[in-house]
Amino acid sequence: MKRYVAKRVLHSLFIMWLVATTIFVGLRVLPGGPVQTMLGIEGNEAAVQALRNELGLNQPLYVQYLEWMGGLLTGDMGTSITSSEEVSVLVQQAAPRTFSIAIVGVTSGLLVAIPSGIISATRRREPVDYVATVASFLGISMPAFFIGIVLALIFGVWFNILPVFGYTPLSEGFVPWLKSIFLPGIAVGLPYAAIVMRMMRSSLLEEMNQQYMRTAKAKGVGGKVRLYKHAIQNAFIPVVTVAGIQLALVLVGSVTVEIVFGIQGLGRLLVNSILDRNYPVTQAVILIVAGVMVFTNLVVDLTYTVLDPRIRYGGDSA
Amino acid sequence: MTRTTSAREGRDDTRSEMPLLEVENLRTQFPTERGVVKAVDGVDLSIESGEIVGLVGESGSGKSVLAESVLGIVENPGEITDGSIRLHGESLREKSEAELQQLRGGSLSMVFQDPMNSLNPTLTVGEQIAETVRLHQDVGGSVSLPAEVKRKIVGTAKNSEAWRRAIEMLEAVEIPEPEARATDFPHQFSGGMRQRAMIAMALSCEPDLLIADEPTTALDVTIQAQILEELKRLKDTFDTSILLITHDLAVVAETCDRVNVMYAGKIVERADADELFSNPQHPYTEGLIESTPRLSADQQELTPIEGNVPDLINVPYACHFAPRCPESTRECFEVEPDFRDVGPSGERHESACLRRGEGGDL
Amino acid sequence: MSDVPKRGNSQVFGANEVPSEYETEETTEEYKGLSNRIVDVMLSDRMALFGSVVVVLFIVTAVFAPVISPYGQEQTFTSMQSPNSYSTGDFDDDGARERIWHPLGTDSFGHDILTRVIFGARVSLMVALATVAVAFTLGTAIGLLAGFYGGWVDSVLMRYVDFQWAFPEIILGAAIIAFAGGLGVVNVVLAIGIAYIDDFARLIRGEVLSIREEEYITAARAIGMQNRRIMTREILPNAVAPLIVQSTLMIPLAILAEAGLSFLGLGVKPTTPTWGLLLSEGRQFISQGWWISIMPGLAIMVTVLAFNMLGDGLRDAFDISEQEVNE
Repeated sequence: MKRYVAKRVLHSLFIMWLVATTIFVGLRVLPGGPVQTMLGIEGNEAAVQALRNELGLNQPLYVQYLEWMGGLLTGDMGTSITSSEEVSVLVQQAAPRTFSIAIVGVTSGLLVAIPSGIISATRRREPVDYVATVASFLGISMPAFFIGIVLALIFGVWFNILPVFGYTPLSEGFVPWLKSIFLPGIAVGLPYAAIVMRMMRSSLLEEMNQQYMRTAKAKGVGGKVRLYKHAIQNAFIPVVTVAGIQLALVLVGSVTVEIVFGIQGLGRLLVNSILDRNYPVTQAVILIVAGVMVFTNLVVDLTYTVLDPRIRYGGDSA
Repeated sequence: MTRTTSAREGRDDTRSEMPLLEVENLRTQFPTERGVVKAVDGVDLSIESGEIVGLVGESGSGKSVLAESVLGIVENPGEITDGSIRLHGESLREKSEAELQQLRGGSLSMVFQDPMNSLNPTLTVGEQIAETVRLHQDVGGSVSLPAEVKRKIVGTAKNSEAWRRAIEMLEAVEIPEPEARATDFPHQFSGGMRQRAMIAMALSCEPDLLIADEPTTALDVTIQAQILEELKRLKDTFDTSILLITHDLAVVAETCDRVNVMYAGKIVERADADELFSNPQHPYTEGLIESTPRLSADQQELTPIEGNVPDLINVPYACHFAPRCPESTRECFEVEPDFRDVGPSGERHESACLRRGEGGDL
Repeated sequence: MSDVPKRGNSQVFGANEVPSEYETEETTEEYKGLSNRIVDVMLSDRMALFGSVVVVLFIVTAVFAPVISPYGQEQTFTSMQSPNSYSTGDFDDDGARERIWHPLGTDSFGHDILTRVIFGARVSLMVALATVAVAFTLGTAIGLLAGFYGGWVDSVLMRYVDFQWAFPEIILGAAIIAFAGGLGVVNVVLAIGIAYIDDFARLIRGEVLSIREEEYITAARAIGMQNRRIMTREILPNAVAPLIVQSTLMIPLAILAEAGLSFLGLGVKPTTPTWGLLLSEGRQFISQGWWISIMPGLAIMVTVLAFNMLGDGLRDAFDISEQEVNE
């Protein structure tokens, strides 16, 4: 198992490196380079050169690359073109907001999805199941920002219960913080919950049809014990996979939902930086997002070792 | 190895007069879109204590469904529609699910065909055996839901009576290093050992009856022989009767005391093993024996039985085997064959064929 | 058979011989062709039926938008009318005042929302189809090559797919748009299309790997069929079913992605009214005119829902497990 863990960690690091390099290359190779667009097409040659020098774009490519990678390792992500602030500072301000929303989303999503998936599977074809199925279909059919708008409409405009604008940092108290991210969190959590619930249901149904469940019944093991002791662990494996993959959905949702609720998170940062051609910021945000995804993937892989003894103690012995 | 004493307490000894298992006119059906599949169509079967009874048939004959019916684990939408199943004289059909759960794994247990998929990959082999022991024997150890889940997460207590029993059982089926092996998972065992573990699990509570459904089909030939020997030995050690279900005549000849031959949902012949093979009295049995390749005989060709197993939804013929039977007459298609004595006097040998025994002409 | 003694006078029937009145027709279960099976599933699964009906409606609306929509896209009436209301005025300069019905209300400019939603369907459908086409083509090519050739080709291609997986769709889409330097339909299509390659590639690769080992491939090779022919003539047709399901399930994802990008202002140019854009425009008026955002949002929801139900139904019809085809 140690080998498995080591392999996965190395793989993740490799992917991260690949991501960083690709971002670097993409920026410098594709059309729409920063300088031209910043100065407009009319920028004369001298101004262009001056700006390029300032941005360090006239150095040989490999020097730029080493500077970029070196900077990353020390946490220096460059300077924002539009505001001359340190990108790392901007990111430090924005990231907690996005992550807060994501955490609320994932937590609430899982808390709803897993029990309802189990109930749905064990009460198949009963009314509960139908309701849950329809609800899950709806959940995956509504974009997060639409859910956000609806929630904001209901809870903010029509019934003024929760704030629909702005973010209250945790330092100002837990409840205010939670209130400010509650609606956006639900908005991104709902589609996530829908997908996880469907997988939980189908996976559990499949497990319950397995041969070893028949053996358990033939041994006289009772229904509840068969479910919770025998079936569930195996059923969780694909669910964990999906829960990890769909984290992407939560992050993507956060980006749009931040706009709806006026939260200055990574999403806002990303969009503005793209519209402003503020490449250092764009780079940094993409890097962080990719980093979160790679890390999640790694956590999912490691979770398999806990869930599946076949990975933990691999291979047959004679 | 130590025989447990608690297993047999409280059981009436007068039961040795009546058959251990008595199945009468059992019918099990599966409603499907195209019609009702009569998987078991009026079967009588009896097993005395201390014997190994074989149930032979091709796939599609209904033998597995018969086994499932006895245990009460026929899958939806199948259901037992008629007949009685008595274990020690008590009707199993009249028992509640809770009562049946107490019997299953305890006095009545089953071994399945595919050991790889029949064992839970997320529980250690030892725990799977210990679980059975805990459920049916008085060994302390709670079987409530929270306790079981805790056991799953934390592992089985190594000093519990149930765990000790599990190791004893693994030893009984001749698995080397049983103490270490008990903490292994099924995927770490080889095919033959997995099947032994399953047998260990099934015998752990010293059942009165063990039903073995194709226990050796998924295994290599050499392992097959070992497992069969094992079963015979364990039958004596644990005083368990065995219902051995298989399609393989060689297995039956090797292991069983008595044999029932099943075709298309019905039993067609039953006899002691020796008698059946030396004096088969049903065209189907004869066909089966004929079609089995033998090393000794100087065979140039194999002689299979012509035709296919019928569609069990609507068999319009009285004798299910009639269309494939080389001896069938019109009467065979119209009149239901009854069981007739066909053996030398003193031997129990019956065949359901109109043309054999009394009233028949062959 | 002649040596089996006769029973009295009655005839003996040999193996496989049956008295005439018992002859039954060989009833083999009719092999239900694929299209029959699909129809069966559609009719029995109410959700799939609902889905297919709405999908058809959607396509028809999109294609015939100019014909179906009550008014012109750019026509303006009284602004900020709530749903199911009327605006009165002379809107077509003919001197007479008309009474115009707005089933879904009007927006801040006075555009009839129903009209804009109908035309929005067009763009959504077009973009979605184009996107899926891009993802399908590229993804299939990659998957096919990777699965068929195996070895280092496979490793490299799959590393790429793994790598792409680290980027969530909209983020990747946004990044591609950033690098491609601008808004506009083409960039959006490319961006989202590339973002969804990984699902197709993985799916096809899995299919190829399992089919490749099938015997008819070995047979094809044995008679000297060239690799490319094998890939296109033998493997591809059999892998089609999951592909169709995946495509059907990908369309709603593409619609959602495009809506998201447009909502963020990174999508198509602001003059083309896609649903995402309509939603975004209406956001500022959420307290005065909730319908401006909600109506296009509902349109997205219903359409995506329909495609999902349809895709699910197709998946059942083709009998594919949920783990094979990703959502």
